[in-house]
Amino acid sequence: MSDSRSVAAVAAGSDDAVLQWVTFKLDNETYGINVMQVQEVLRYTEIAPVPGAPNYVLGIINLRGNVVTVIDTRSRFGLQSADVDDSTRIVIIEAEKQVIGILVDSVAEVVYLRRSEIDNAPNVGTEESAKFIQGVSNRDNELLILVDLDKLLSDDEWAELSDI
Amino acid sequence: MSKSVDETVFDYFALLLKEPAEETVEKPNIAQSSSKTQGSVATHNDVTAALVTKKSSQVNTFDIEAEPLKAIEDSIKSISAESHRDFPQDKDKPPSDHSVKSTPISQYQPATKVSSERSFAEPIENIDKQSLEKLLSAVSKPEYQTTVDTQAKPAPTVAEIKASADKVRQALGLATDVVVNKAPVASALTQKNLVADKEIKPLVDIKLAETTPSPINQAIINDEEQLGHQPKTQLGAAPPSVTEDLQQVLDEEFQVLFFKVAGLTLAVPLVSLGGIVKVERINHLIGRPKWFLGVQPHREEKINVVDTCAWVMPEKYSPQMAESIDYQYLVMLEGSRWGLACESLVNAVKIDKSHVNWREKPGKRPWLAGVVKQQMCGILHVQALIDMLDAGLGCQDSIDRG
Repeated sequence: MSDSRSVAAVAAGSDDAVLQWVTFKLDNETYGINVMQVQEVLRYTEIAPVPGAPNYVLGIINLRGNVVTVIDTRSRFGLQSADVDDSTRIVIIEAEKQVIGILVDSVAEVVYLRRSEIDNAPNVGTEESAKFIQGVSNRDNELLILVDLDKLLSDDEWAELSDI
Repeated sequence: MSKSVDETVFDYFALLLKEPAEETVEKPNIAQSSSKTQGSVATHNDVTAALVTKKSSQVNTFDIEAEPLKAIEDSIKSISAESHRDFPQDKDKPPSDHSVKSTPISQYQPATKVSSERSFAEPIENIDKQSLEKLLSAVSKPEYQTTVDTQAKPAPTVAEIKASADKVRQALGLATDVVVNKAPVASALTQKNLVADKEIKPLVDIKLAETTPSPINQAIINDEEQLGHQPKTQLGAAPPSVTEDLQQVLDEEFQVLFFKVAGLTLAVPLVSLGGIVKVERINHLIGRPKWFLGVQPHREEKINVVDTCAWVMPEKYSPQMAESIDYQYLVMLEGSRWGLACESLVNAVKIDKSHVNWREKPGKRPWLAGVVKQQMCGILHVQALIDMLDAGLGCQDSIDRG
């Protein structure tokens, strides 16, 4: 299988580009986001709630004088909420020309993946959250779930987020 | 056929020539019994000797006595020519026949009942046509009926009346047609129309009654046949395809693996078994159905793990049951990345095909190939199951979507 994969990679040539992914943990699953969309990773800081904000919005933080909206990633992914601990992080990302923060359980590392190493996720999902997953990759016998941050929110939700 | 026509015509007109006075009375009988020409001739032959002599003398007078029959001969010549025009197909017949035919009818036309019944404006032509039609119809019915049927479809009565006129048109052109149209007088036209109207209605009714039911019946029969055939073919083709493919793959005696999920025993044929993988770490993917446990990496591959209990028994699947279930193995489906999570593997045994109650009709559970009689457990139709899983269908989804 590895031979066939390497052959496929060679055949792909320059199209088989290497991409860097920042991995984080959420409910014991490893997710990866494109490093080009990650601005910085913050330790957990106080999040000020915003009255009337959507349920997926935890609140806002002050990042060097800029107001950044923090998203409740667990809620967005349909996972149960968890307590904040020392490994909790806020990952500042840029998507759809907006800067937001996502709350994650922990940030692990930056991994390098070839395009040929990324497989499509099983297409059996019917829920809206199914479209968040860009693909999956098997790395060191561990599954890495790649997230498409642009699809984390819908167009209306992105617009709504900009008004906060 | 032509001989019989000739004989009939000859006999008919011989009788007309022999007994002119009685003909008005006897003609309907003759016309009715025209099909029985030989019988009528026989009856005339049985008449007394005086009659026979009378007949012979009349025949002789027809041959010899010229003066009283001059008018008859003239009319014979003229009408024989017309009869040739009217019936070009009778050209093969000897002219004497036509002359014999037309002469007496034209001569006794005013007295005949048949002509008065039809009440045609042109006595000579009409009587000639009528007598010929009757005679021909009596002797050569099939030909006459076919021609009438083909011409009578658009306008039945007109075609019947002008059956011979059409033939003349074909043979001679419009000249005769004009003559035929112009011949009747105004009064005769009115009578003709009246009679025609009287005749049209019953004829049309009769023909409608004769013609309309048959196409309707045929259409009904055709529809019934079509409707009857369609379900038959569908029903006949569908059942074998349900498990035929699986049964063709299996030998008469084949091995199956029994495995258990939440107390339910399922069987999978070994030919459809892709392998057994121990459950290690199943990665949950967000946004997937409940029956999709997740993805387990295995030898640089990814196994899509099915929560078998949730898939097979969604109605009984509860959070308590989910907590109680301890999946140990993945039963891999041949040729796919799907693995059925199971709690325990029972055994692999050989069973006979006859020991399986195979499903014959397509039902709500295409993934179920049948039931193993001895173990009383379901045997999986792996390919159908793979198709359903690939489509993202659950057990209940298959029921809803047929």
